[in-house]
Amino acid sequence: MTRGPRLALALATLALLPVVPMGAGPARAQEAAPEPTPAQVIGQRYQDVLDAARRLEQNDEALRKNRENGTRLARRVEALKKSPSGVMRDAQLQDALKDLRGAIAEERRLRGVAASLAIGLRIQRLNLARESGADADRLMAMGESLVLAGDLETARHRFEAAYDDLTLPVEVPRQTTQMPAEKAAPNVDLRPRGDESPDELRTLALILRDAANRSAYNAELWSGVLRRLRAERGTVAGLLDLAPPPSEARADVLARLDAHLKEVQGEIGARRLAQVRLLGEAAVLERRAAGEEYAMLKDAATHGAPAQAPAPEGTP
Amino acid sequence: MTGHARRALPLVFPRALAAAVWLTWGGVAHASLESGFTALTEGDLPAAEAAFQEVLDRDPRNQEAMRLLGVAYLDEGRTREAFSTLQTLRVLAPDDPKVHFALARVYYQAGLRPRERAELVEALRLDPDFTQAHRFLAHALVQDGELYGASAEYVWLKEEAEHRGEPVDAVVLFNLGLLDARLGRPDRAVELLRRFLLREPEKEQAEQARTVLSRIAPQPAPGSDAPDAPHAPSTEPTDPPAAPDAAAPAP
Repeated sequence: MTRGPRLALALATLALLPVVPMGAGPARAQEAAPEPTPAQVIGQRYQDVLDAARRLEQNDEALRKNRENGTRLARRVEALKKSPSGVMRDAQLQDALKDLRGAIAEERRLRGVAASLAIGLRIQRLNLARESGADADRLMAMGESLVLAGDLETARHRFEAAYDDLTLPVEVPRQTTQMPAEKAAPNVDLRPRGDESPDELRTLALILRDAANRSAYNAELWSGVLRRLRAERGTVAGLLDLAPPPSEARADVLARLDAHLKEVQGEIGARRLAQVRLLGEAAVLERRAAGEEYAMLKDAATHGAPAQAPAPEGTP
Repeated sequence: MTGHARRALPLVFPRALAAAVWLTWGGVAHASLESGFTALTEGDLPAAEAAFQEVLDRDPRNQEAMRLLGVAYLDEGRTREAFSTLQTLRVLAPDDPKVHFALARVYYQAGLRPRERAELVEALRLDPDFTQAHRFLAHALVQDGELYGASAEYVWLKEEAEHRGEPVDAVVLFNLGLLDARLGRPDRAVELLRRFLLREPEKEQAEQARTVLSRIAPQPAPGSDAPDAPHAPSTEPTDPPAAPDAAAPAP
């Protein structure tokens, strides 16, 4: 073969070869697939929650039907046991008992499935919550990067999307100067006046307990801040050791940090104190409510029903 | 013209031209900012927005225009636009307490309370004497049930006004009085509520102040014998402090 036809053959062979190199096909396909947008990811998570809830519902329905079947079989077994003995009855009883055992086994299996599905549903819900919360932060981070890169217009769009995500689960009050009533902390004087009914006293006690819980929660938050501050102080002290400034400045920095730490400790102490005080007040109110209720009951038992109208004066 | 001057001309002329353009544009931008700020304080929000937008069209990174535009959006209730504008600015000027304060107002309007508090704390970290931020923080703390913290903030506001020789805001007196009554400090509560009633005997909260005073102090409260008190007793079980004024800082 001369050089010309050989070259043509080689070119034709090359043309017939697949464009994608061998072994690179799946990787290329993966690269080509578009990455899901955050909204799509959240949509998928939401769909997962719906699917898990539907599976749980179907399982509950199967469980209910199986229980009905089991009840029917148990009744049949009881009836067969009471019927006159015989070969036919024994065979029917054996069959019914076998079915009943099957129904019981099925019930056990379905219960296990229900528990597993309930856990799955909880996980899917958590995933959804995490994804939608993380999405706003991710969009904010993207916006910040875009601002730093100089693309302010696109950054604004990202921030607007983040705002939409942030405000999606929140019911924005129409009257923005006033928060929803159930969220507002009571800022009126809650101290009992002395004429409250036991129910009112218990309500006051509940409010105080709620405030105590909030104090405890805030104390925990401050404790986290304190831990971080202490760690920071350690870092600063280490840095100062490495590159020591004049001794006065060093003492000043550390003294100021210590003052801040003391402040935070004071905040935690105040909140813990408030928690204890509120719980104490709540307990006092609850005791008073119980005492007043007991007194009312005792009074009713001694003098008859309180609703009974008093007899007019002068009657024997 | 000497040879030296002829040689220097090509160098001097572009610089002079650039300086002239810069000065002219600087003057225009300043005038636009001024007119926008005037419109903002007068409540003409569309005009204010147009003025700030004009500055931003020429100089998209003008921080003052961006902040005031965010405030204008906020005053107009366009929280989404305010958020995006102020977030952009927060990246460009992370150490500006006014930006964090404006963002806190956005979060407040959106009902995002933890973020509102975080921005207020950041604003106060950058400027511990930021009075408006203290007011907002006090309000947020009351709403969150952190009465001790709120009390501390109101005390700061009261002492700051006294330190400056200015009259203490009636809202501060009223709220601090209520908080003191609630937190078991009746003496100071009586003093504050009486001061409030002396200042504002006809105000909406006066009736509530009298009720609390009659509970913690048996003697008649000043102003309680006003012959023609036009107010019915407040039916609201909780009376949150009035929202702090949304005054726009000067450009």
